[in-house]
Amino acid sequence: MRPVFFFRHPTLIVSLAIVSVLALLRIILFEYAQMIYFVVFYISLGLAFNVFLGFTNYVCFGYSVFIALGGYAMAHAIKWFAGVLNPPLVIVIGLLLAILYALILALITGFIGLRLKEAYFAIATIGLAQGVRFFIEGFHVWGGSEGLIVASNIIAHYGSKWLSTISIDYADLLMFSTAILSILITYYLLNSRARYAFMAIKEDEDVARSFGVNSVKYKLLAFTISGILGALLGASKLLKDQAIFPGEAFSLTFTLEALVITLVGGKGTLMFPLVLGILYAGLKYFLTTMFPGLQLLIFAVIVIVVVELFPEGVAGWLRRRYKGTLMEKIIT
Amino acid sequence: MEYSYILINILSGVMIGLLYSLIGLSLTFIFGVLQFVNSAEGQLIMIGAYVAYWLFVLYGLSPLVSLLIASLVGLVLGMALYTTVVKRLMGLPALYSLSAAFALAIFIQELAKLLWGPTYRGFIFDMGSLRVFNFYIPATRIWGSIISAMLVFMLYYYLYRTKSGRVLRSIIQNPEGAVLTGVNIYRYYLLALAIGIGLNVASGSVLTLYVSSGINPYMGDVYTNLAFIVAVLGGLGAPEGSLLAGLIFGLIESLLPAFLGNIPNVGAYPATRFFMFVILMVVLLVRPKGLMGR
Amino acid sequence: MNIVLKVENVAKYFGGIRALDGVTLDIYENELLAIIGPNGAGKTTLFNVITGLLKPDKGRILFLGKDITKLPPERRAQLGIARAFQIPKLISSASVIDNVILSCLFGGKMNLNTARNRSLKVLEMVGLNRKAYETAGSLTSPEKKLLELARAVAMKPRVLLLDEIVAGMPPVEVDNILSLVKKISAEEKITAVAMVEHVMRAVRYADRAVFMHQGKNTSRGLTK
Repeated sequence: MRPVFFFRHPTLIVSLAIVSVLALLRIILFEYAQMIYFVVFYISLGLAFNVFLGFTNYVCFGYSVFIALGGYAMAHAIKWFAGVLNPPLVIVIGLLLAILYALILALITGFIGLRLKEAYFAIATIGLAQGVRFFIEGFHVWGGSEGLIVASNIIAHYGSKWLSTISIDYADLLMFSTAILSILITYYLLNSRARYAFMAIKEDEDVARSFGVNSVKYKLLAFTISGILGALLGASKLLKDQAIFPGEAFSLTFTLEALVITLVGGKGTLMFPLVLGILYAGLKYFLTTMFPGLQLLIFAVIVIVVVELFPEGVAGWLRRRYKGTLMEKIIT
Repeated sequence: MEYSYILINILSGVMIGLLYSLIGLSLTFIFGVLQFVNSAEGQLIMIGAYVAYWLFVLYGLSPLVSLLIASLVGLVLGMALYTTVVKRLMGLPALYSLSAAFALAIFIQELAKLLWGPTYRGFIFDMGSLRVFNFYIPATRIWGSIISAMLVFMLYYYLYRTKSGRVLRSIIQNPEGAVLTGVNIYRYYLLALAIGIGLNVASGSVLTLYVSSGINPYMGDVYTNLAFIVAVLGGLGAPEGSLLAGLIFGLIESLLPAFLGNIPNVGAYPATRFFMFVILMVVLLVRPKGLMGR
Repeated sequence: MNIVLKVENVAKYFGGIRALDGVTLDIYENELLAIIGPNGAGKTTLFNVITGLLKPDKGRILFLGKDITKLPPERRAQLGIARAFQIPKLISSASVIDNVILSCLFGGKMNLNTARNRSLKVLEMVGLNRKAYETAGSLTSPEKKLLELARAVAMKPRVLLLDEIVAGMPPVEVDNILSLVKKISAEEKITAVAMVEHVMRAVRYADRAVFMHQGKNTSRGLTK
């Protein structure tokens, strides 16, 4: 039974295996927990971003807004419920809030932007992250420009031991869960009837509509899921960092990083954003130590080069080389 | 509210609005011909501002002269960008050119930081001022408005009264059809991007006539957002709409902070920028074609 | 005879050009109607208005008695209006059968299994079943036209709009395709509307013909 299952769902097995190995390493090699967290963060970022980019060919340039909203949601949960409920429950509430905030923003932005062509949507979303940021700073809500710090709340209500438990164990658990959830969702979308809809929408939206595909509905679906996954990512990031500041939370850097991962890896696939997430984390770590201050420059160049010369990414290149074999199926 | 105060704000709004028209025009013109969203507009404006800065600081050249050099820099950059980046991306799904433009913006920004450091730069270039009511309007601003208006009308003249301009307009109106007319469309794409980026970088120098301080590698984002709003409001790909859209937006931006500043607990600057974003969303919701779009 | 599609006084202007200038047309159930007219007569615009890619400036479209003028294209497809484009709009990177399954799933609102079975059956009808798992992009030009036809038919439409399906084809191919269309329409009980430029061939296969010129239909139709 098991060999057959593997051959029918190779991508799923391999991706879950990779994440499991990482989880194992995290437990065994405790000293590397921080680095492994870093890697899983980028895996999740790549996969979450890819759910929208890879399935619709639209780019949400303000993607960091979802990550930030997730962080704020978790911060709100802690600020409002710390001391009233026990920590795991507070975290669950934080997750639910993150989903809620992301859902609302995605539906509003999607409703306005996804009925339009990619260029208009890009324009709308480049301003999106900044727009929300300026709302927070301009109207002094949610901590305004000073941001929110939750460490004090946790220590005050639960003690400092809980602080390290949350910031180390719970944050990592949540991050791993987000990665697995992203894998499962991506895999499901790649194998359900939705796959046909997305295939058609990417090729030619007018033709897709002539054949009965409600393109706006599917675009909105992908966008909302991608946003929610991003928010979950942000929620776990808040648990790790214990603070959130609008100046950096809404920066466009995450979008650039996500673009590197998905474009170089191969958009629309499952394996490659995952693998690239790992490689990217490594690359970033390397660059931070060797050439600090040059990372963004190098990543920007990478995006331009990939777009010009290898638009389908590594996945596309490998797919052509191993056409017709099991490898090809794994790559999808 | 004193009437003279309001009038000054209106005048100020019109003057800055003319610059905004120029900024929006560059974006909308490039998009109209090449279907390329120049997300790096703000960063190229930053380059224009630095050109004015360095030429002033090193050679004492006035921004009025620098803007000519900036235009040339822009023309060359535009041609370079076309041949290296934009040309291959035409005809591919939009996501590639959008990502490339986005990455380009960050690239230019980071390169500027590498070359010139993150410090804020500025210079003082005083041409005296004109007295209106009880207020003094710097002559540099007046010149800035005049030059912005001149550049906008020069492009309009070019598009409507010259042969190659007419070809460009026909490409804007019918991207697919234009290829079939037998004209060497690549030359026109090159031309359009060169002109567009030329205007783009020039507007950065013109900007220093209004504000000659605060020049730093990260100053571009505001202007990119601004370009987007003016372009969309006027009609993305419809150069005719930029003039009106820029003026409207300049007026809004001039009058809004005074209004917002009166509301307690509201920071006028970020709140204004938030409203800029809201205006963009409203336009996209209600009339994405903009004022003059097809 | 029931009227399955009714075009009521439809007008569409592009700036100063009157692409459609008051077209009124009744299309009867199960007939094969030919719309004949030179380039620029407005045939494509008419199809675009019927399928919903364009909104008319004046007039209505009624489908099975219901006013569909305000419905978006995907809803019209789901209700049963299918279109085969002149230049086949296929997903070249997908397989032949995937292209057909797409149509079944969304236009035809079938589930995955039914869609697969239906797709295989339709591919057999047009003779492409042996190439079902090849990439759509690798088909020859006439084969692509057949696939386009298959896609449109697969979703079990009530009305099938065929854009210039025989444009630029040698006479033998034209006969093949038109007789295939006639055969399938009869079998599947589909009302077919074919856009053609030349009278001769259309008359052999069509039940009725309508002429269009400069945005107007000048004749209500001649039947054999």
